[in-house]
Amino acid sequence: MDEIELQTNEIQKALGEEIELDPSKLFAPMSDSVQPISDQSN
Amino acid sequence: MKDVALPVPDAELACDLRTIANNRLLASLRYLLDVGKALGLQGERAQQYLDAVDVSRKFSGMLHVINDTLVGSIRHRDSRAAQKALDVLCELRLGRAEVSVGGLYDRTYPFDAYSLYVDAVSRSYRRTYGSEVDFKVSCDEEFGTSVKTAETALRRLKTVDPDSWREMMIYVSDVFVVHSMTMNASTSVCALGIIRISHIKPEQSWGRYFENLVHETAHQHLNHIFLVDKLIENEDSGLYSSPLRREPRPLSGILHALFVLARTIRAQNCLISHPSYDAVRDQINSAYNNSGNTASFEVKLNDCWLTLSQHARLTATGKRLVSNAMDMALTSTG
Repeated sequence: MDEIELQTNEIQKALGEEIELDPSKLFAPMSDSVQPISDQSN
Repeated sequence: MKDVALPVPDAELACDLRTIANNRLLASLRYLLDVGKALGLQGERAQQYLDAVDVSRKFSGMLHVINDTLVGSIRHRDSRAAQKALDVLCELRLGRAEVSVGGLYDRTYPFDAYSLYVDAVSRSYRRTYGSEVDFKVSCDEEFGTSVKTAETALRRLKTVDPDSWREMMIYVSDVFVVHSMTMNASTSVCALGIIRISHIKPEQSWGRYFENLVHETAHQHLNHIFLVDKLIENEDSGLYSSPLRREPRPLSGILHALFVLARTIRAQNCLISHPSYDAVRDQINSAYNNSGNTASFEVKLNDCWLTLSQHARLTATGKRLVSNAMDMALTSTG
C-alpha cells in the first residue's frame, strides 16, 4: 500500500460516519438487549 | 440436541453447541464480507476459504478474532485494517482435532494473527474491566517449563476426568502461554476457542494448570450456552460482589463464577477419587484468588448461589442449569 492510499484511507476514516451493522447478523450471545459478560479473566 | 442445562461435560452436547456456534460465526463473516464490499475490500479469497470449511469440525479460535476485528474495522470504515484481517483469515489452517499449547508469536499462526488476537482481547478486557490487560510474550526457560507443565496437566485431565478432557478438545483450539504476574487465565468471547494462561511460577505445579484448564473450559461451554439460550432476564439489574474478583460483576459474571466453581469441584473430586491420586503430589491450591478470597471452592460456590437466589430472575433454562450445577458439585463432593 503506497502513501497516497494510506492517506486516502485515513481521510475516509476521518470523514465517514460509522457503518451501521445489523446486530442480528453478527456473532453474539442470545439476548434481548443486554449482552452477558464477554470476558472472563482472573 | 441434548438439554443445555446438563451440567456435566458431555461430548455430544458440546459438539452440537460448537456446530451452532460455527454456523453463526460463518454467517457473521459472510455478512461482513458483503458489507465490506462498500469499502472496496477484496473478499474473493476469503469467500473461497469460508466455502471450504467444515462446520462440524473445530475451528481455530482465530476465526473469532478475525470476526471481531472485522466488526470494528468495517464499522469505523477502516478498510486497511479490515483487508489485513481478511488476508490473515486466508492463511489460517482449517479445523484441527488437537489442542495446540504454544506461545504468542510462535509459528502456529501468521505473525499478524497474533497481533489481531492481542488487540482483540485487550479491547475486550478494557470494555469489561475498565483497565488494561497485563500480559506479554513468555520466552526462554519460563516458556518451556510452562508448556511442559500444561501438557502434564492435559495428560492428567485425560486420565482422571476424560469427560472434561473430551469437552476441552471439542471447544478449545489453542492454549496460549503468556507472561503475567497478575493474571492466571482468561477466556474471551472475541477469541472463543482460545484459552490464555500465565507462566508457571516456581512454587506452582501442574495442579494449577489442571484447575485453569477445567475452569476456562467451563467458561467456554457456558459461553456456547449463552449463544443458544437466554439464561438471565434481568442482566441489567446492576453489579454484585463476586467471590472470584475484586470488582463487582453483572449477574452473568456471577453465573459464570458459579458454573466454573461447580465444574472445578467436580473435576477436583475426580482427581482425588482416582486410583492414581497422590495427596502430596496432586494438591490443588486455587490460583483464582483475584479477590483475595481464600475461602474453599464450596464456600465461594455457595456465595454465588446466594447472590443469584437473591437478585437474579433466571429463565426456566437458567434455573435448571444453576440447580443442576449445584447438585453436580454437592453430589461429587459426596
